[in-house]
Amino acid sequence: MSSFIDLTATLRLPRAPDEEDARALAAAAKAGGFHTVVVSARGQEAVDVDSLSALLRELEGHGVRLIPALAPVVGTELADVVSMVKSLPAGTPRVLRLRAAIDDALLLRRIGDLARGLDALVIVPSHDAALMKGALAVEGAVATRLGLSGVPEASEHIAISRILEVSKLTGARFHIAGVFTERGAALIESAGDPHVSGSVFASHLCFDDSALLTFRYETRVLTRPPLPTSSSRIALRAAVKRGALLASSGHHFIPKRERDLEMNRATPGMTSLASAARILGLPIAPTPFSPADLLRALSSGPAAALGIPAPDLSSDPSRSAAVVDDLFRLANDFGGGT
Amino acid sequence: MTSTLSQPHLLGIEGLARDDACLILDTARSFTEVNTRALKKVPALRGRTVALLFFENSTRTRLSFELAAKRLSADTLSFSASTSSASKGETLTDTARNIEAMKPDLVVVRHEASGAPWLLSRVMRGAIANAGDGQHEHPTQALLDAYTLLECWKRSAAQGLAGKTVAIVGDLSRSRVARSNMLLLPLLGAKVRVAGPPTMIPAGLKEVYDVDVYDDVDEALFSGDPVDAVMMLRIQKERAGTAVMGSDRDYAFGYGLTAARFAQLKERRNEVLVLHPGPMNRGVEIDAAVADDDASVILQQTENGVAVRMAVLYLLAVGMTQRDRGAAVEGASS
Repeated sequence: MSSFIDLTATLRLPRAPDEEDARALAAAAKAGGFHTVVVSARGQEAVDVDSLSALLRELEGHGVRLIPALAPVVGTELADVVSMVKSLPAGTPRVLRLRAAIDDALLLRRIGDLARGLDALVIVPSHDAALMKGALAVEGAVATRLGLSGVPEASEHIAISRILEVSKLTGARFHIAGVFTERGAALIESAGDPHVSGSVFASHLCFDDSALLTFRYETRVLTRPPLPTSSSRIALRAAVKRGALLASSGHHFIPKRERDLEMNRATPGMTSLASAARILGLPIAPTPFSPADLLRALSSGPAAALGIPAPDLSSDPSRSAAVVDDLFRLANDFGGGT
Repeated sequence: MTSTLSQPHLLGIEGLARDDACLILDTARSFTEVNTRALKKVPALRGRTVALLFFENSTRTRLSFELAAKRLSADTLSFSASTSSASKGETLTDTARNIEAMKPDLVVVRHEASGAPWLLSRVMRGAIANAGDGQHEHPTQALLDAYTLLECWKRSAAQGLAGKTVAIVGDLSRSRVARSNMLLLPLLGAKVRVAGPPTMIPAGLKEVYDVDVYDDVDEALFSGDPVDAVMMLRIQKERAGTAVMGSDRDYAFGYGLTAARFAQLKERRNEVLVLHPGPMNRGVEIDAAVADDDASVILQQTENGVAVRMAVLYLLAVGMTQRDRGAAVEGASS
């Protein structure tokens, strides 16, 4: 049995043969050891009953549980969101995913009120939208040297502070996806709010912004949020090890043709779901991760955030062990280390 | 000093050896002489093709490179994004591959994206000269700025700029001219002070460049040793947006080279030079009277740009010829 849960996968509507469809995503999830994936559909209207129904039908029978995340946006009617959430099959966790960061605290409060009423988890980006606009890297020496627009690390602190306060105000559950700074991780941990969890993307555990210098102007190292600084990456890994942050694939499939673009035109995203599982193997070799750390970060932690039972690892421990063993093997294939 | 560059492209000042910089500046001096003749043409690049790929608007850099190529007797291919397939959605690399099929020897590229010349250097065979990429670098502008300073101060490239202090003022965050100058001027021995509003000073500046950083322009200009030259940067409203600065008047008051600041500069160093990469926003970053003052070397910068770009094109072509010959010899012997 696969045992991992991914909270933040993104599915593109197929536009070309090399783009990922639901079938490909499900296959990748199985290969990567994921049994549950929360998926948003890009390029789709926020509330589109027909598209969502078609997506769910397509995802049936692939052996992977896929939970659709709805995307309330400005202009969406409250009644539409409610009716959409209620149309999900019984027992399906309710998830609202904000595609873009929301700087407006009043709007965030309304979404929190809505989510609490629906008992839905709200997955939110970790940054402030205004400060992130146009950013390709975290502000600092690397961004300055390469002439890339930077986002200040304070962007995350501001956004997480706002989310924590709105959670207190509304009682809604929030999951902050894509934490990329040491201060952001520390803020979530120190708040100790049971309604607020955070996760860091696999790419951000494995690479820091020095990769931008190594792979100069290559779009495969372009991520949203940008790759962390070296010190933040170390702190993020330590936070995952302590259980203060969850790990997530940060899945964002990019067609090969977009790899040829200039950085300011390319879609950020470096990992597929399967390759995320592979690179998540990197931090466990040789340490600081233990297999137990990794399983918690990728299974029971996300399950708690979603409000669903944790995957039953005891039903087939040899398979779970095989998955973890496989990650160690892959880690060795990558040469191990950091 | 060798007679060829140690690198196949000019992608930026970063990584440029001092010897290479001096070679370009020395070679430019000989082309300056060519530009004073009645017949301003030499056959150095006869039979060579220079592709001028300007994906972003440009007046002086484009004309300067085009004139440089023509004075070296090269054939030119000209491209502008507004009248090309780029405006129809073609990617940079697809455009480059198609131009590559026409076999240009040298490629001059300007692009709004930082790193675009790097991208082209991976897919094109010709030598690439960066004519400005996003907010990253503008190496030939920095070279012509340094050349202008050396000319004004009657120094050779080997003597460099030691003992001189240059202040660069403006939007340091978005200025590719500033980035290239912050690398080249210290490489040639100058002390460099940079100043701008806090919202226009990128993080980590002191870690990357050997410069002193100020957010108070008066402190940058009027403290310590007198400034020998001041370079005012254009306020790039098309890149900066309105959020990072107040009104034009506010900017001029806080950071512009006003007549009052200029007078104070001259009190401290009577022969102070004023540079600007153009185009100027008169009355914003520089007072109109200052721009037209005898201390202003702005038109000399433009004039010197042709000679410097002739030198760059010539040296890239020489390097290319030598590599081609080396490959041919290697092929024959294997």
